[in-house]
Amino acid sequence: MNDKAFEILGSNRLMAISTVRPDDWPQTTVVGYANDEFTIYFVIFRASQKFANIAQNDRVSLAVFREPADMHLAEAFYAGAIASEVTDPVEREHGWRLLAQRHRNLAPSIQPDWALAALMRAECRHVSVLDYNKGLGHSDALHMTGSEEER
Amino acid sequence: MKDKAVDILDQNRLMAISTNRPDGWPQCTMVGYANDDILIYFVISRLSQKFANIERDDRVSLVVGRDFHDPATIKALSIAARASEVRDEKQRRRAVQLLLERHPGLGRLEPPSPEHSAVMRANPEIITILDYSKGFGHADLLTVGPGGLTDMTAARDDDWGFGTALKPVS
Repeated sequence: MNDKAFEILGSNRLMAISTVRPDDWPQTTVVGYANDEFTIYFVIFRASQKFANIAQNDRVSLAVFREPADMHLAEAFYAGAIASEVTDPVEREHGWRLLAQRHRNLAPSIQPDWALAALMRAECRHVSVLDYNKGLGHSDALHMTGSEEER
Repeated sequence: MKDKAVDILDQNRLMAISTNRPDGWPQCTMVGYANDDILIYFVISRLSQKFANIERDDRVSLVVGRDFHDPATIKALSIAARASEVRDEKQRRRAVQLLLERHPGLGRLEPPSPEHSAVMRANPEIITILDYSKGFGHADLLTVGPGGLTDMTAARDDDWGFGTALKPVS
């Protein structure tokens, strides 16, 4: 199942990310991402509601999906993840390099102003892979070692 | 501004929907939709976690958009809505018809059985319209009240400090 999850993550570059607002409404937006196995990197604006939401509640939900030619070929990667800012310069360099490789309009050497933007990491805890090749509605679930919550 | 939101809804048919799980986690999944003006219809299984979440808390968040070549062409919606099951038979038929028109592939499947599938509607309350042709990160906000749509603050530009330097994907 890991192989299918990495295949989906590796062949896409946009994801929907849901965070929880202080008033408990969910908030969904789309961001570009790059992944290192089940660690997902993305960049958001520090002034964004998303950043404030994550600072207050680090639990996020991710969805990676691309519309197939035939719905029987639909594949999706869903994850419950813990998000945090990458403050270690070495890891930030690593995350940015991965983002620049996946998003060819970004340059490895030209980084955002980190006073305005934050490089974030989401560590997947609960993964669900939808694979309709195996039957309409087929999905597999995976819970990472050390997950605090059972889903 | 409402027309722009409806245009974006009309030009797409998949959305990410986030609901609140009982344990406090958000849950984001993808569903096909059809819209009637700004009212959004979708079908989900009664056995799904999504359905249970909405029965317990009707607040949902939706995103509609598509991948891009040039970031300056991004047009997308982020919507705060309240979701509920369509129980009126006439409205249910109308919703299913709209869904079949938008997703012709569904016509090859069995029609959704009311015992297994719930036809849902999402009534938008706040709509954020992303239009990057006006600047990277440009977004306008609309509220939907009982009296109709009201323009709110013309929004912010979240450009991550890139300004207009972000190039098309090569």
